[in-house]
Amino acid sequence: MPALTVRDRRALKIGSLCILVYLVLFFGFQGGKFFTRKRADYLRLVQQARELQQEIQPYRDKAEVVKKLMESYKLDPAKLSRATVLAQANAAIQTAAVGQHLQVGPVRESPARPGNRELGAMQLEALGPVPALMSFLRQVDRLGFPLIVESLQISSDPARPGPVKMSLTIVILDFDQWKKEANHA
Amino acid sequence: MNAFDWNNTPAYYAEMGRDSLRVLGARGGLDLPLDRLPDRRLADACKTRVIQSLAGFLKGKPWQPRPRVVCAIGARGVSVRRLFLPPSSKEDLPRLLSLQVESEFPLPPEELAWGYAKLGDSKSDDPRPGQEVLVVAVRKETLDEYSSLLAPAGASPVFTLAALARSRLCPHPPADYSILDIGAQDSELVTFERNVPASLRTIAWGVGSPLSPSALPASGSAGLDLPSLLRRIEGHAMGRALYLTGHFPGLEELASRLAKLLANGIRCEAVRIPSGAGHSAATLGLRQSVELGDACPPIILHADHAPAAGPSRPAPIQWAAVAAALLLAVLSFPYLEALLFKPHLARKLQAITAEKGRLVDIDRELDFLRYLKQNQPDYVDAIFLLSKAAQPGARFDSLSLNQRGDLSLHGPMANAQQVGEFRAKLIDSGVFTNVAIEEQAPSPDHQRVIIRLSARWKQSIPEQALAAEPGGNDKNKEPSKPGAKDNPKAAPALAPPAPSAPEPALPSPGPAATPSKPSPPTKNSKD
Repeated sequence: MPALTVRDRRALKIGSLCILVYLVLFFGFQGGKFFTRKRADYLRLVQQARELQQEIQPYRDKAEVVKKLMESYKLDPAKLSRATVLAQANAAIQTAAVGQHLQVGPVRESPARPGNRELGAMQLEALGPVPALMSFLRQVDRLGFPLIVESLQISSDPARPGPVKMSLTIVILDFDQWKKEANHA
Repeated sequence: MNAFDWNNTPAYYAEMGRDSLRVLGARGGLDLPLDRLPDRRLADACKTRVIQSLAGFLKGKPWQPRPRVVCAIGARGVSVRRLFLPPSSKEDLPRLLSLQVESEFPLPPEELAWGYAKLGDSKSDDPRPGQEVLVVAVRKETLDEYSSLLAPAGASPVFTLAALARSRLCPHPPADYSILDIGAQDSELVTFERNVPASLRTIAWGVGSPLSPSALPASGSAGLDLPSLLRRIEGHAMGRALYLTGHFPGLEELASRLAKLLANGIRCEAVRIPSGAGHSAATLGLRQSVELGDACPPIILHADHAPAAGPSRPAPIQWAAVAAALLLAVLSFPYLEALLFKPHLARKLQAITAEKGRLVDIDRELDFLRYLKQNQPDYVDAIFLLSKAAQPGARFDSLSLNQRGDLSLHGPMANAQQVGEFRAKLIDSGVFTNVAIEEQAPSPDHQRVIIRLSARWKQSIPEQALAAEPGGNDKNKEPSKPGAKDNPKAAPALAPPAPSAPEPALPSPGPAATPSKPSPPTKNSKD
């Protein structure tokens, strides 16, 4: 192998330097593009996060209101089973009436009226002293079911002096109707 | 005392003698005997014992730094020189002194521990410009031995000369004077000229063990060989006064005897040392030096006088590299942030998006529960208002209310005026509207009137309506609302009437009541 002259060495040095500069520039640009792309993606994600935060923000208050109402009514709509809620509500109402020492009379269930967001209705007659009736009325909407007392009649029973007779029409709401509305919306 | 005293460690003052170590601190003192080998080095057992005792004595709080112990050493092996140097800056003086020490002392500076004190800018008897410096030097091994006792005990020692520290205790000394410290085996004589140490000598003359008073001469100074002492000190200039220090019971007597023996009218005076652990002329002198305001003892002996290499200044290229690195870090931070945080952010966003479906559930549940709340009429409050509006003696045979807001009731009342008042109160309550007496007819016995009333009622009854008395007659009266919602006994006005009860009842099942069929929900709703 022939010995390298000074000129050859200088040429080799310059060539190596040029290659090195080229490599640095080449990979520098590539790296720059890579990092710029990554940063753009990151900024896009940050923007998405901000939008999501703005979207979620109002739901904090809503969730709080829902929580309070659920605690107030002792009711979790998501846990209601459409198939059994009518029977469970009927049983709970009668249990509450008996718990107030009311004498439960005829109980009639009727199917939901078309166009109404209800699961069904029931008519209940009960006999008992006025304080027990009032207490029962207070209790009806806290039984853990979506109940609305549609009408109330109180009258004296001519055959039984002393206690009074109460006739209630109670509607059981259908939570699934709200689900459908939300899906349609 | 200041707020930072809790972090300050108290200073300790020690005197390292030939046979004893005395330590004086703020809380008391400690005297430890030293056992030396024939070559004057400390015995290993003695070292261990002393270190243990010192460690217990110097123990401070865990957060405090190591206590500083100013240790005064004896005159044996110590050289004192007064050097005259050419003028120099304060920074150059140690370097200049180092050269001078090399030429003045028999040992190279590397083997010496030395300290200095600047006496003045020029000699009083020399007109040349310069500066006079007092240099004190001792073998480095001597201080190393003492450090090996103090440092393992948790102390941070600095060393000075005991003979110079004792001068602090001399009461009103003249310009030229001497101090003779009488020890057990040896004594130290230091002479001051114009208040500057001029010479320091060790005299082979002592009185016995200083730490065992029983070993001292029982007859005080009577048994001491004073002529021998005089022979040893008479050859030196002692100035105008000679102060005696030492732990010797007959010190004052010795001073008076010496005063008589000394020629040239030299005043001889004993320096009284209060008895106590750790007390010696040197330790007390050091303490007094600090209390008088000198932050440091006169001369501190340093074992290492190598010129401190100045902080190496980085070359400009290094600064440039640091600046470039910082610039690169600043510029690359946004890109690094993207690289580092993007996966975490993406995961979090994905999780939140997956949970977004629950927002629809919240909306739905909220609508449902609001509907339930808005459509639940408050029947109990409406009945309560009716009972409050009714006059005593009124009775309702039947009452009908529904969700659509229709109300109808049927029952007897005392007379037409009572009917009118009842209607007026219902209207005044603000809850009932469209109040109409659909039928008013006299009862079969013509004693009362039987009415059939219809009205509209608001399903959500405001609190004010419940609190206010219908008709506004008794607004200040505490309302008799059946406040306890679940307490049936809180609604006495709605109870069935006893035969003598004047309050209205609903409906009346009494024997006199006229039963009537429950009226169906009103169909003629205006809705």
